[in-house]
Amino acid sequence: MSSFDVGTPVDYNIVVGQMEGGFLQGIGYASIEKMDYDNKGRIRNNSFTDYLVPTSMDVPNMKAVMHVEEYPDGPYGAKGAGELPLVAPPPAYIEAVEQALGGASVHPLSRIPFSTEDVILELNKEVS
Amino acid sequence: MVNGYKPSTLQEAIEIRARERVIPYAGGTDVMVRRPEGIPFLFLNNIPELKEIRDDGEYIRIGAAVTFTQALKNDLVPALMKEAVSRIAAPAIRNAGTFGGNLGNGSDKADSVMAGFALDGRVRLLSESGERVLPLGEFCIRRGVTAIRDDELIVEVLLPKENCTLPYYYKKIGGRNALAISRVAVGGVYSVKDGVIEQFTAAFIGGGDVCRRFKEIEEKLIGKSVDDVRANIDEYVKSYSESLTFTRGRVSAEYRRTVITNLLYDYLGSLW
Amino acid sequence: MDDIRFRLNAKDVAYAGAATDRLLDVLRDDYDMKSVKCGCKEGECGACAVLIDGVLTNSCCVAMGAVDGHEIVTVEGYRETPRFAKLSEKFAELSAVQCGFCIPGMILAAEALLCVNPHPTEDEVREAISGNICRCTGYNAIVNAILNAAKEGDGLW
Repeated sequence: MSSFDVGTPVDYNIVVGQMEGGFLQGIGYASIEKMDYDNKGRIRNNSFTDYLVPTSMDVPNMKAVMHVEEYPDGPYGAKGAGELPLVAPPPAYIEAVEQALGGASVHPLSRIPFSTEDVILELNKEVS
Repeated sequence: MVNGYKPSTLQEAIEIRARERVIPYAGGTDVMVRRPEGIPFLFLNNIPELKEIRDDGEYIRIGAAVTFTQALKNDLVPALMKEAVSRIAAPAIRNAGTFGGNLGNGSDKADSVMAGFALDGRVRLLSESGERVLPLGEFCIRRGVTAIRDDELIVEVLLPKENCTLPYYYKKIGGRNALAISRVAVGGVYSVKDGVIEQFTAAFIGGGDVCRRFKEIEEKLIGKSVDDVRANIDEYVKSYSESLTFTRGRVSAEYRRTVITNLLYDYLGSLW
Repeated sequence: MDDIRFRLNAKDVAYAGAATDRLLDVLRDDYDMKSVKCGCKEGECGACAVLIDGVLTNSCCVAMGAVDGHEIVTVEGYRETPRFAKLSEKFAELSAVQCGFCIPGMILAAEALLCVNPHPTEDEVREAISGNICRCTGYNAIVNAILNAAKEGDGLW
């Protein structure tokens, strides 16, 4: 569940669409979109097979809600909308993973993406 | 046809294969990504025998040009195979991808091959010099290398009927819920009678550079009671994890080892 | 050498090029079917999806020799149908189209689904478009548009 304040949404459906799209980009950014570099700085994930983005079957139960309040200094009361939705999901996701792993005192997490592989390796630290 | 052949019989196809260097093309989903230059394609989609699924009394035979979507709609195909194949990529790929291609491209991550191996399947190869039928374990040598000869074509995959109705285990772990290549997968069939394991197979993707099974470990499990297996589960899982080799690819070796171990506990713990 | 003969959007056509040529390139360059998009050239994005004999297929993974004797439909042909009109209406209503790049593939994936399953569940819609990557929408609007088209399109499919 996410809530966005972009002032007046000029075209409501388009704005919600951007919020949902950015939300999923944020989830992907936090979880499966791993980007590796080799020692010469070249990106290793240079194909769709190697750079994973969410598919329609990877969408969590996400709901975008608009907080609608006219912004007095914007055109028609609007604020910039496009970049906003990407910002909040990654820290929210990492918080959730951290809590699921037992909390920041046991498993402090501070990097993204944090994939299922990272979760397994993190859990293995408990055993060793 | 420029740079291609479209035979309408298997005989025609193996004749072309014998005299010229061609690339067999069934669904195209692998060949077209690799894009080899200059070599003509041998289109196999017009050969009726290669598109059939049939029951000959002893085996379920799946033709090399049968697509995964076709297999999913056919009642003869065993449940383990259907489950493995239903998770391949996405609908458009399953509509084109074939059993022959999945086997022939020598991938160590081929889902239909792993399921076939777990079912004790075999592959029938044909050339002008004759026919060979190989167990899948012998056909898959290592990543990118199969036992196929230059003049041979894959005709069909044979699945022993008595294994096709057994209870099975299957878990695939990919990077996401669709369009995901298997990073690790475990599949097997088993039968338990009066609390004793009568049959057991376990095939692995992600535990080596080829799909693997360990008959020695399977034989140790056969004849044991399910209670005995549960009581000694740590040892059985350990013998597997010591036999498998975990390499780093898109994911780390440690991840593969941990996940396969977890899946083995799940599989062996679920036998009843 | 014989030409490769197939039907494209209900018209008979003949292709004189190589059987190894990629269908995606031929559709775009030789037949001007620009609705067929090139996203990845490895079957991982669905932007190039077309219907071959009614079956959803990634045209980047198809060689011309394989289409000989078959029937191909792209959005240029499909857009003349009442089914498309209904899908188009629902997509527009929900603003399910943002940049538009994934949309031709999504439309044909929707057609491929509704043809065999005129009343799908949400999960079935998600699976049907699971091979079509979209970065803009997060998929929800597209899924809902397809579900609405199915609900209101009684008799169309």
